[in-house]
Amino acid sequence: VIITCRQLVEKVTDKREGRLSVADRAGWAAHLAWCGDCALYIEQYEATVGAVKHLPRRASDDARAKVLGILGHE
Amino acid sequence: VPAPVDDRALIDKVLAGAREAVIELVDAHDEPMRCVAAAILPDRAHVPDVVQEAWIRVLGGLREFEHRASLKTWILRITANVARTTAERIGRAPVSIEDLPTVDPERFSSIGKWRDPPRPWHPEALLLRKELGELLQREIDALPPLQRAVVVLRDIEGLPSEEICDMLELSEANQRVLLHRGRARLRAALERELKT
Repeated sequence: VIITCRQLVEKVTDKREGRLSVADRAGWAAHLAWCGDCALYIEQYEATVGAVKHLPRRASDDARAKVLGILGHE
Repeated sequence: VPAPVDDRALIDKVLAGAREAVIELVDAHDEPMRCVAAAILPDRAHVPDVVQEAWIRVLGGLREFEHRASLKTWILRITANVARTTAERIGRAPVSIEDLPTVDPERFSSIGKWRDPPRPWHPEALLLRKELGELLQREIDALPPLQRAVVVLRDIEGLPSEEICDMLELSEANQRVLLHRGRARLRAALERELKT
């Protein structure tokens, strides 16, 4: 089964979630054996997921104040 | 997923009245609570009230929390329940799952090969630039509410997909489509910024 570049970019999440069909798994490997452009696309997709994971977590001052208010803190 | 032992220590401090612990609790959970509420409610206007009500229930129930799930899962389930109760009254957000291309079709030739392929990003730009974090945060906030909730719960909070499907009443396949669309949109935003 041949997977085109256009098709491959829509399968990256299925691949990562382990949801590729058996046919697509073969097509995926065959495609990446020659296509550096798609390899770069996947690398950037992974970099994006990695960057999102490391975003700082902080609530707004307003959110903090509201919850502190529920507990009677100043 | 945070270790339950951290949850226990934090809960003890909150129950003992430690202000810093309350702030830690809010910092860890308030954003994902907002995302869950926004994914269930028909408009953003009701999100603050639902989150406030959820916090009242969370704080009221903290002493009885039994650690059968992580604190995060427990808090977000409470939030989802409050949001659903409100949605029963005012109407639920329509679940629209589009399955359109996530990369502009113009970038491919008629046989589906890259015509305008991705170009390498500035090396280490992802690590070096604080503005990039701000850009990503803005893009996440601008995602459609369901996509935003799935991306935040999966990729920031690290919840397993089954829990997210359960919380947001999504099928696994729909959750995957939402995750795919959200991540692709974030990648495209970084691409616009980082293209060499």
